[in-house]
Amino acid sequence: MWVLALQQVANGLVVGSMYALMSIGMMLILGIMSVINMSHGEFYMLGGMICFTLMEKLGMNYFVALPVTALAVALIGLAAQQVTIRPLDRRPWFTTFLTTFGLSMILRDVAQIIWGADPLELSSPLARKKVVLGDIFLTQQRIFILLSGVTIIGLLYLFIRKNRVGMAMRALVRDRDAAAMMGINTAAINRLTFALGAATAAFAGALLGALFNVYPTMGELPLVKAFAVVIMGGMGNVQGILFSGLILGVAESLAASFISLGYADAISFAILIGVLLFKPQGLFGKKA
Amino acid sequence: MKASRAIGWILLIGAAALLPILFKGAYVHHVLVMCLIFGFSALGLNLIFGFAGQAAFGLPAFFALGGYISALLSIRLGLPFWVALPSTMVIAAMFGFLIGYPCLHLRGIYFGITTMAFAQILYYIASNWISLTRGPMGLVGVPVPRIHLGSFDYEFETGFKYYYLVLAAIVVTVWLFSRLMKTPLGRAFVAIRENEDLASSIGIHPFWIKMIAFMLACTITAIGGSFYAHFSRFMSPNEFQWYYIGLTFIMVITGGMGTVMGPVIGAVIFTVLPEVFRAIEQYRNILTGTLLILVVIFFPEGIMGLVNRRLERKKAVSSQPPGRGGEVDPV
Amino acid sequence: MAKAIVQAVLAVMAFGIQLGGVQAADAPKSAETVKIGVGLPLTGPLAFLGNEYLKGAQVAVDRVNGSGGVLGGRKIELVVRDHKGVPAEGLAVAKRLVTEDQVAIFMVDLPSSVTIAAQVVSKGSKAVQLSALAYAPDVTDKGNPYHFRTCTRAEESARALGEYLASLPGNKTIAMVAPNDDYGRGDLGAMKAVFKKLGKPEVVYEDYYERNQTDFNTLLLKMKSLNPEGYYINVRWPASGIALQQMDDLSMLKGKQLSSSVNFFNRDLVKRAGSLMEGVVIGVTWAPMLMDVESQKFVTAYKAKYGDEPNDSASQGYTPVMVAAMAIDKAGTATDQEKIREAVKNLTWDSPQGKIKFNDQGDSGVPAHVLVFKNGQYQVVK
Repeated sequence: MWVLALQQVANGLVVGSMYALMSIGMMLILGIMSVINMSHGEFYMLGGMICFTLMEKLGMNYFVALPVTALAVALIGLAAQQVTIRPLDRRPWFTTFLTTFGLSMILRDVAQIIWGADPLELSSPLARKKVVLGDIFLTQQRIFILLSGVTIIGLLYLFIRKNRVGMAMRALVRDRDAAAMMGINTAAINRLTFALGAATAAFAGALLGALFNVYPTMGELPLVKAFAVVIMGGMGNVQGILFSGLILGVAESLAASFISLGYADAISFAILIGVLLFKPQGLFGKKA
Repeated sequence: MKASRAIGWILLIGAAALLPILFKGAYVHHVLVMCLIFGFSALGLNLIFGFAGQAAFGLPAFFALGGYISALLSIRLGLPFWVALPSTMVIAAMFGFLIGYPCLHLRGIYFGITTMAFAQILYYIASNWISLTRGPMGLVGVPVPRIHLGSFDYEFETGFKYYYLVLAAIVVTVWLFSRLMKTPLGRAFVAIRENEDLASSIGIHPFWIKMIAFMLACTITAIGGSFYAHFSRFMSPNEFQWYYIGLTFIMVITGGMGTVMGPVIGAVIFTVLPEVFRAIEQYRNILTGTLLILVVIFFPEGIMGLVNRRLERKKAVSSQPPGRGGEVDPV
Repeated sequence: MAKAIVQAVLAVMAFGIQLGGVQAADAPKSAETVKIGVGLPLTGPLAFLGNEYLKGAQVAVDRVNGSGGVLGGRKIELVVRDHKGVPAEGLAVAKRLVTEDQVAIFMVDLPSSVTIAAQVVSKGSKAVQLSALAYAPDVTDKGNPYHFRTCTRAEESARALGEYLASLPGNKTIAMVAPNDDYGRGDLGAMKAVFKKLGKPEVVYEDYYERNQTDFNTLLLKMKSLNPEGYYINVRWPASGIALQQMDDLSMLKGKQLSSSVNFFNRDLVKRAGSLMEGVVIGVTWAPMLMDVESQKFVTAYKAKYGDEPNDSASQGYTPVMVAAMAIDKAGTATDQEKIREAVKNLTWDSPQGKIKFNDQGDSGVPAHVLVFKNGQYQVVK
């Protein structure tokens, strides 16, 4: 019983760190640009797919392919932002919801045309290496995922807190117009934010893809989870997102094990509704 | 003006009634019926989004919800369609209240996301409450609407017959809708869209006005779902897909937000287009997605918005100040 | 205002005409061929099975046309439509095959939930439907005189596999997982009934996975914690490969009796996870190792066409097309559904799967077999 719970917690942390990594980008894009990025799941998918291609077709090493993938998807994100978001700068916020929605439909089917509908095996060299910690069984890939997730989020935290550009980003979350008047280049910050968001999503996709295979519709569920985590975590709060992601991952693992598999996914939304009803500013958010 | 309007309506209904006679074949009739069924979704979304200005992203889920309620009522309780449909409307309105209550306290982007979260919960319930909904296996054998009075027995089992049933329903709905928009309540919806704070300062209670709009929108959307369930005779959680959110929004925007007829026209266009694209199945979503982006960027007023603006320019000499699409002349 | 409405009407009409135009282009070019409708998942998670099925069906078309066609020299032709394995799409496909394509007989297969949904059409429009990859009991239990199933029932394959598993030494407890659909639920239900009748193994755990699921860790951990002597892993390709690897990651395969359904009868799976499959017992409805005449005819024709050995799904696609062609020929018509129905009902044929003779429910009564994977090879044990 306890062994099972511990094992589930370990797995939940691994998956949860990826929820958090997905959600960070989603949160930054929402907070800084006021855009609900509906194509975030597709950037995650592109991460897995491009990493697969780099390894299979170009024979690249997994650890080299990872950053290259992130960079490639950042560029795709940049191009996408120019087409679907920039022209709608002064328009109501729901317009970008719709254009990114359209973008997600396009990317998903383009991916299906390029890579086919069947899941592809993204073989990380760490995937099949077992690690046994007492009664807990993991693979090196899972540990690698957890560590990279937490590390990237930590770096982002430092970047936003300490770096000048990061501070400009925070200023934009507070008050866009004031920030513009202070001479902050809001258009540049927007581009950076979106590219950063796309890159982190792609990173998550390339990491988790090694566990669960990669396929064109793989981004659906992570998008839904990122939604939940962003609302749970509250806006403009990197630590909040990390903890919410981890909590969600663990809660789902335990629920799947002790209640039923089918309702594990519903758990995230039950938590979400609870948060919305009782603490609408998010579990870790300050009152807006 | 009044007479020409009436003639316009009659022409429109007449043309709609002629369509299935002009274009024959069960498959074409199927597409025509689906146009009208999605028309309800678009009308519902237009009410809360186009008129009251609340981007209820989760609303299209009420289409599936309505279908499930209606299907369950007729399969599990054996209710005929004529009882199931009004019951579905009432139950959908109740769901609208339950979901609207927490959501409508939030504004803008947060309202939108939260309704979507609820839509997702409905999806999980439909997929996992196996004993009630049969989960992903779906509900099979939803009965066809049927009039059975003594020796008189009539079944709406073909697309041809069903088309006229749904056409009658949508004509009534559109007519009631356009009447509603001329009442103080209808004007209050628009006032909230234009400026919620200002509206509340002149004595409109935004929360409850929005609640009424949301519940009405849920009801109208659910009517479409009910018609869908009894037409396809099958319901599965698939209809909760986020794809339908995009589709319904594109219908409303293309047709013209905040106009009465616009969404119906949008629904027709975006039900027919994917069928035309079916020949190039692989590129279907790519084309739909591209259209969505292009329409939002270059064509925000929609078809009826453009038409109305042209009309307004013509009668600019008249005393009426040029307003936004729906306020002045909803048709 | 009136003008605006007229404009709108014209716009609608224009679309209608366009639709009509597309339809005309789709119209049959040759009235000579006899059309057989096939609705399958050719995209999505079940595409692998759908494509194999289709390849088998093509072999049957070649065989029929090669030996003179039907109805005195008319060729048969498949009208193939994709339903992605989604019930609602399957229903639309069935409608389209019957009303638009006007096929003589149609199949809408994979998974059972889709077949069940599509029966609204065969029953409602009185059109003959064959099913060949739908094992769920409900497929024929709903009383549809226009529907016939050429493959076996879940109960039959469960009986064959269950009896074999119960006969093995040890094997007193088992944990089971299957897809969350009519097929998976029907399968586990039938397995449990067989185990109960035989008194062993005891089912200590059962759960269902979602079709798009690829993370089995939580589920496997739960199974492992119960420490059963056997696992029944009815997971479809390609998730089956991931599930096996994850079982290995958790060190839960050693010393356990692994069993599965036809989903583990798959060369791609052997390539990816063959080393983990040693000793796995699987229930199938057909295997290329079966030596009867029809099986070998099919294997030879398939190898000649694709240069590869057919699997179970391919054979399931072959059989209904053969049955359809024979029935249409016997009925002497490609349009009269009542006559075709009669012909199917009275047909007997020693198909690759076994002797087909439909009962009143529309079940063919073909048997099931058991294979064991040993030394990197599948072997028939029953």
